[in-house]
Amino acid sequence: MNNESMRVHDGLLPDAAPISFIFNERKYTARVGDTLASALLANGQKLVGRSFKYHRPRGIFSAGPEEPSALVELRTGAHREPNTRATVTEVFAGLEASSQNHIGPLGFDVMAINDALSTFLSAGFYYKTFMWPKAFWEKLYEPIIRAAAGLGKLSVQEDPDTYEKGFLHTDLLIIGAGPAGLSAALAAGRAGVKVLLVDEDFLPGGRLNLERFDIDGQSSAQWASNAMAELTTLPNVRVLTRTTVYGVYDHGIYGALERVSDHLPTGSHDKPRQILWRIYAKRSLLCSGATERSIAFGNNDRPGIMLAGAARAYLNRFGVSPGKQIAVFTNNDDGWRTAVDFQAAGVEVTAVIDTRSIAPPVDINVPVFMGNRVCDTAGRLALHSVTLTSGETIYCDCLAVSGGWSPNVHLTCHQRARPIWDDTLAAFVPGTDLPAEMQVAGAVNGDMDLASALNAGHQSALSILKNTGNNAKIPPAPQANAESSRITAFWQVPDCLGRAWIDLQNDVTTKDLQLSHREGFRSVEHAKRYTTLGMATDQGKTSNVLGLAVMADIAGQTIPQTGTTIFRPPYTPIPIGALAGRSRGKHFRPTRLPPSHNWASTQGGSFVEVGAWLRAQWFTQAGETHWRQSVDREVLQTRKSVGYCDVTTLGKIDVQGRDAAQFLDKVYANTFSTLKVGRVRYGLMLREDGFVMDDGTTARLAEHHFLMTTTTANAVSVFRHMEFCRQCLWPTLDVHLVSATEQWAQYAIAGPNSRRLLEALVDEPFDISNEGFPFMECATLTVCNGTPARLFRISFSGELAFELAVPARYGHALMDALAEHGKAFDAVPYGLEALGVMRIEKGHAAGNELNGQTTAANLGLGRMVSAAKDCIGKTLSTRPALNTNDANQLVGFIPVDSQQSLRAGAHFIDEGAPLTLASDQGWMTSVAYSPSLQTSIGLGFIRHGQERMGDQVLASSPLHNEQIAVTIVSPHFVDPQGERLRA
Amino acid sequence: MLSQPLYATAPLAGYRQTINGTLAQEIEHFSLIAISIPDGGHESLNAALESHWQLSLPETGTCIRSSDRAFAQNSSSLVLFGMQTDQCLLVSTAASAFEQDPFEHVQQLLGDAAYLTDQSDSYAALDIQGPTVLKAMERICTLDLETFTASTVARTAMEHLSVIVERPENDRLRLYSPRSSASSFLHAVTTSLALAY
Amino acid sequence: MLINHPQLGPRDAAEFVYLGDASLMHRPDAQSPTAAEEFHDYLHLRDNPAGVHRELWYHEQGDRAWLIVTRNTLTHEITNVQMARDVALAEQQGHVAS
Repeated sequence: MNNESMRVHDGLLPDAAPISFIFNERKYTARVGDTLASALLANGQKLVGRSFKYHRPRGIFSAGPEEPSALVELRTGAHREPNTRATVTEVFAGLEASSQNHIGPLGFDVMAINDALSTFLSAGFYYKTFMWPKAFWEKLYEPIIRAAAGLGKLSVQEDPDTYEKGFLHTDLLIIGAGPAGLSAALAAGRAGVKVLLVDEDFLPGGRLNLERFDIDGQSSAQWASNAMAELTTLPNVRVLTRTTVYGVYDHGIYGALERVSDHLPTGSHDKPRQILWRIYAKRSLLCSGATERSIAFGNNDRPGIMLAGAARAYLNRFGVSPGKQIAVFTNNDDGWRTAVDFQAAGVEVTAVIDTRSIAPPVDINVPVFMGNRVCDTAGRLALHSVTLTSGETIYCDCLAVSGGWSPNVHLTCHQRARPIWDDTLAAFVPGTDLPAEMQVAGAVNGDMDLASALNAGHQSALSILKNTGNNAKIPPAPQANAESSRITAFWQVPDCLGRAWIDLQNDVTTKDLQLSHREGFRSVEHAKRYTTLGMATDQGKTSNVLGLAVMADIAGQTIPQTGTTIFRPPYTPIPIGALAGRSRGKHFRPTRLPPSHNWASTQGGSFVEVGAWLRAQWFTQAGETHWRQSVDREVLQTRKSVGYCDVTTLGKIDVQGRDAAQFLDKVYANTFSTLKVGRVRYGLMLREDGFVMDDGTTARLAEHHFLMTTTTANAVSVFRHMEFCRQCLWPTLDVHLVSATEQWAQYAIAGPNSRRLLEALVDEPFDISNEGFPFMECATLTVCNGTPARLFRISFSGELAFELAVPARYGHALMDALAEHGKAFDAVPYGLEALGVMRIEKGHAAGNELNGQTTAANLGLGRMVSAAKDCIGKTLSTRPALNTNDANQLVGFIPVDSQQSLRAGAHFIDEGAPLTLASDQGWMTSVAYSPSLQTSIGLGFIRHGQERMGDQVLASSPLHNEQIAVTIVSPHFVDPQGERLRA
Repeated sequence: MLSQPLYATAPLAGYRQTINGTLAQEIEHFSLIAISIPDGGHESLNAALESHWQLSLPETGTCIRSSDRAFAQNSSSLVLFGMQTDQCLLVSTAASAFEQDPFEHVQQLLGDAAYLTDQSDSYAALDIQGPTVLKAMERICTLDLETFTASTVARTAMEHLSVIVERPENDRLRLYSPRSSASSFLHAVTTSLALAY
Repeated sequence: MLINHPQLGPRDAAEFVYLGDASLMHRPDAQSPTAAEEFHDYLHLRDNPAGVHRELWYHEQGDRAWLIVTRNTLTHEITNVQMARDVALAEQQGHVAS
């Protein structure tokens, strides 16, 4: 059957023209406005999947997001998405869908053998059975079990779709555009309130589209359509359809997923697939309605058994009859409407079975069984009959079951509110400790009939208007009749022979709950984990309350005594892609480029990520095949003549104010108030616990103006720390901080010819001779005919060196100028690697040494902590444990055999000592091949280092099974007297 | 020795593109000067700002636009952004309104009344104008830009980037974000414009 | 979470960086004879209440102000937000006056 033979009328579908789609490689027709579920039912396709554990044939159970059974895979290739609910999937021309979790054809699944073995597959079966041998679990048992169970399959390809995030602000968020939501949105919208109305369906209206009710003299569906039309004309109202509010977070923040283009053919549009919205709502009104639940009876899981309201929804909204012979099994008046509607549509109703021993609530010309129950069903791949406790057999291919309605309280619980049991409704309703901004109205609040729901929405809007001082005159609430929804709680049919399902998605039956109770898993939270009741994609929307009721029965308790599990976000599944948004690949985080980046990429630069920065690592020249060749050349040429390097990434902080000097004395361990204007000083910054935080040079540009530099890595955290000191510790000081990192392109120019190269750039009359501009001097000057610049005579490489800064806009041009004027000296650009080699050769500490575990004393800088003043970290740096005689000291290391390469991270032990922690003497922090010394060299911390010059120890790396004999040397491998940098 | 003068490079290379009916273009010529207010110097700074540019110190989160005719004649603007309790930014979108280097000029006029830090090279600036401006910003901006007026300014984070936002006209925003991450910033904004609907 | 900045109104918590207990503003006097113990306590001994907590947040992606946020750690309810510098000034000037 693929001719929509079960379509009995047009329902609310806008267009009679057929569109085609594919299910399990077979072509079917549907209509615009169908869901995949309604389209399959229209074509008589009742069997749509196999169950999770027993591989039982399964059909369509609901008509909404609560669907536990009809899970399918959508689309193909990289676009394939498993475990989607056919009941909320909008059909479009060309949609491809397939059933999941079966081996072989859907109608003959070889894994259905599990069903015959069900006695052995009860709750906890895996844990009890596959215990031994232990090693087999990971390698053998688990892979087999995982392959057999489970649901759909991932594409295992990169997700090709586009996902977005977004942020919305509203005065009133209305969740759900059913009777209560629409009524509230009209009232608030007409009064001019900024409203955001969100509905998960593509046809707003909720229940109004599923029933044959009248509102203000028109059909409820027409009323909903008119209401939506009016709302979309109001400039203060925004409507998001196909959007699920999935979570409630602190302070009025709501998470919502908008399915922007899931209903459009791939490649037919340029929209993102989905948008994950963060909604900031001053107030919210939850109108999320209610979900119907089933009754536990024997073999209640066959295709053709569905919720009574869902059967009605397929008939009234989609014009589809889920069967040719309908029977109704109910414990409430609402179920009877299914029989009435089908009879009115001309579909045969074979019986109404009501568990209550009362007079039939509706006068209807079908066989009625009051005080009776369904205890078993028959039909292998589809239902064909049911058996009553009284013994009758009723023929039907669709059994519509109603065990009552459960308000959708989920979102009321995300901030830990607990729902309350209402005996009259036989359901949980929202508790009293809701989030401050939230109100509830309609079925979610127990206003089960249409008249009450419409009125509740209207009244909620009025109360919000009143509370916000809005006196607008608005029309009265829409009017409708109050239908009956009387219920007498009834949960499970006792003494059934067949298994009675509670959770269709996880194959949990009443027997599993009995077993769980017997084995001591009695708290609802334990039973959930033991039996998997209420887990997975549907999170037990149709099964939780029924499960609780059955557990209460077993324990001889009431439902409130049994309690509930906690509802957490998300309400329905959220694709990982939507959570990631744009943060994929290279857009995972911003990239920061120094001013010379474009220049470097034309000069053979290779780049490396340093935090968010992309820095040139080295510059490959023609003929160089290994990075070491490039780095060695850059180091040697810099030390021989001159090299230049972009050091812009160092943090720069402008410190100004009458008390700037005093402030720096407090944040630096050494003294800056004595620094003369025009001079630069190395500064060491401690944390309050006495360990080193950061270091850098700070220049005094004017009496009340300093320019501090920080390491690249700590630029942000040092700024934050200094703001803390300024605002929270010493608020009376006149000191102000501005980040200047981005403002200046700053280049190191190092090597014996650096001054000569600079002389080509620096404008007259600035004197940069050794006398006119000695070591640790700074100046504001101009270069290249008037470009403003700052020059610092500082050296990280140990050579005669300068750092020249120009406004960042000139950074590219300055690199060009350095290259052009450097030709006369065979000058080289050098990268981060050569910078590192030269600082290790010079014995300068960097990030590897300043790792948060080292003190000034460890670094050999103990005397820098001024005795004359207080500073951050001073008091605790004097703690005895940080000042022991055997403290680690920073020294240099060279391998005894110069052919060997040192390894950072290696630990030092004495020769012959056992390889244990007790023998540990310290560790290697930084290593490099020194082209100047033609050997591998290292820096590291070792006990008594300064006293052990010339000693030999082993640098041991058990990880690499490596022990290298090293000699302890001064950390200053090159120019230990510092003559070059003062030249 | 004589050198060629250094040429300037714009952080967004002069970007200009219309996307879905909205024009996004780099503001290439602007000056941006951080003004720190000396402790106790609020009044004298206010007086100086008033006398030179008919400006006064804004509250944090607000901006004050100069009504000085010198700027109107150049169809440019001079605005003071209130960024934090003790700091504001003096922003001019046309350096030509100043007779010389804007920073030196301001420094001469304000003297000791303020601590100045030139930030003109610290930011990439993008002007976006058109019907999709607010819809696009919804995707990356957590602030409610609908409530912004011509006197509102804010620093916030978009796609992990620090961004200063002002809304000089209803359908126009000016965005300032750190220069080093200018390409990530441009990608964030233009992607939002392209995917806005 | 939203933090209601005293000057800027509600801002998303994503703009802020958290530090910890507001007692970190009360740095001991290094001249005190028991300075070592006081600094030890200042740095390491803090209350971790299940309930109302005064804590320091830094508006890094905003106005760079340090704030004292009074937050209930059980419910996340925020009952007060102050500019830390204003509080520090009041405390220090009050201390000097007394």
